[in-house]
Amino acid sequence: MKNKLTCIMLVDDDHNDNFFHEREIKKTNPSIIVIEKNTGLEALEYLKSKKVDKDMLPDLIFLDINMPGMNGWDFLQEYEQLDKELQSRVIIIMMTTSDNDDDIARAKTWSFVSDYITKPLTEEIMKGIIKKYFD
Amino acid sequence: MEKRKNLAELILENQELASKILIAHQELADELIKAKKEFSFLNEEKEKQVTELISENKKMSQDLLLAHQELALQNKEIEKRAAELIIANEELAFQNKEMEKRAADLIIINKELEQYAHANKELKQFAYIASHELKEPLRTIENFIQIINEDSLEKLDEKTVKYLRTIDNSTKRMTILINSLLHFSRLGINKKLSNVDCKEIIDSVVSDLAAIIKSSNATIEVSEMPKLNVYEIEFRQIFQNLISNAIKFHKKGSPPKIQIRSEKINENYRFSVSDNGIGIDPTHFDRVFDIFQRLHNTEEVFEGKGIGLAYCKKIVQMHEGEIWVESELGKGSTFYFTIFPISSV
Repeated sequence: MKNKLTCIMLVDDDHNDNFFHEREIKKTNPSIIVIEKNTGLEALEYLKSKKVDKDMLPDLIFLDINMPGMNGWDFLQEYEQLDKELQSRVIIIMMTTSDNDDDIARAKTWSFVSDYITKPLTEEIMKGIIKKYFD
Repeated sequence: MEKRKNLAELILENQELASKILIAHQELADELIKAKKEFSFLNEEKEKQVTELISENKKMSQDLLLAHQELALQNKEIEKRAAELIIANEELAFQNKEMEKRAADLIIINKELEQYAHANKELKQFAYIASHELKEPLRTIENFIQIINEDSLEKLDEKTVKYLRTIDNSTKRMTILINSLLHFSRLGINKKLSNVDCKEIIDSVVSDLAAIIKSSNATIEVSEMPKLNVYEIEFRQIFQNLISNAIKFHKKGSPPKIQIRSEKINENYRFSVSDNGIGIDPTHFDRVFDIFQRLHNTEEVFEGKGIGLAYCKKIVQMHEGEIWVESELGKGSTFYFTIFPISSV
């Protein structure tokens, strides 16, 4: 069953990228809410503090790998411990500069990681994602 | 009378005595003879024994002499052998020292190799990280040029738009260069050896290049090709680059004619790709294989990336081979490369 896409979380320390990606996302649908988190820890704390079905939870997370402190991989490890119901509602897509095969293979080892794309996120890519994972 | 009787008796007695003496004498003589005989016999025996002993002794002394001589000979041999052993021992000790020296040398060489391997790894990592890190700010520039293009272009005057185009082109070119560098630094990292039919490889490259072959009217002739153990994906790229170069650098007005040949020379295979293109100045023969060395300063920024031949060189070196070019300006070029098959089949 596909969800409606109303909220996206960008987990990336690069503000310029976030700014650009938000623009591209809003080109597909201006009403999508975009939450920006600059570290894995911030993103995790946000997810932990929200209650499923009550608060604004992201339907889609774009996760960068290279971030200071808790990086993308660390985040995935912590995310795995979170509430399963929450996990079932969220689509995670890795979005990074690296097109390194090792990174792509590593991302595939996580069952709840749906996809792997390289930056920048464009309107076209965003349309493809909506088509594939959302109503 | 008495006296007579006595005399007679005496005579008798005398006679008796005389006969007794005679008998005794005879007996004695007999015994003497017998004893003498026995003695002489004994003597003979003794003499015989002595002679035997002497002869035995002689023989023994001869034997002893012989044995002594033999021993002396053996002794000499042993001495000789001992001397030889000493020499051999000295030689061994020398060899041992040499070995120790060589082992020490090897340890040094090994350490050096380790250092080289480490430096090489660092360099690769550097190239990878540099390209990776460089991509991020470059992407930001590209993204913001796009934002200006989308949002603010009408607010800019003609000159500024032109400047923006220049920035955009340079940025795009830099992106290509960085991607090429990144690709170059990772070339062969996941290389896999397989047995391939070179003819099939070339055919598939030709079919990939079908569009430019058709548009340039190029003809490609391929001679007999071997089956080899090579790093397939990388090996394929050599032909891909050489063929597309041969087409790209053709003379205006004459369609490219490309000949691909192979020849077995000792254990190596030598391949060649010849064209009838614009050719290369002999002073550039070495430089063409260096990374980012474009000889043709074309206006088309994105065409020659100046990396294709550097790829070829790196891949050929992966196969323990060499690559070189023979060419005459205006007449065409022939690129040669050798491949040392890991084990030819």
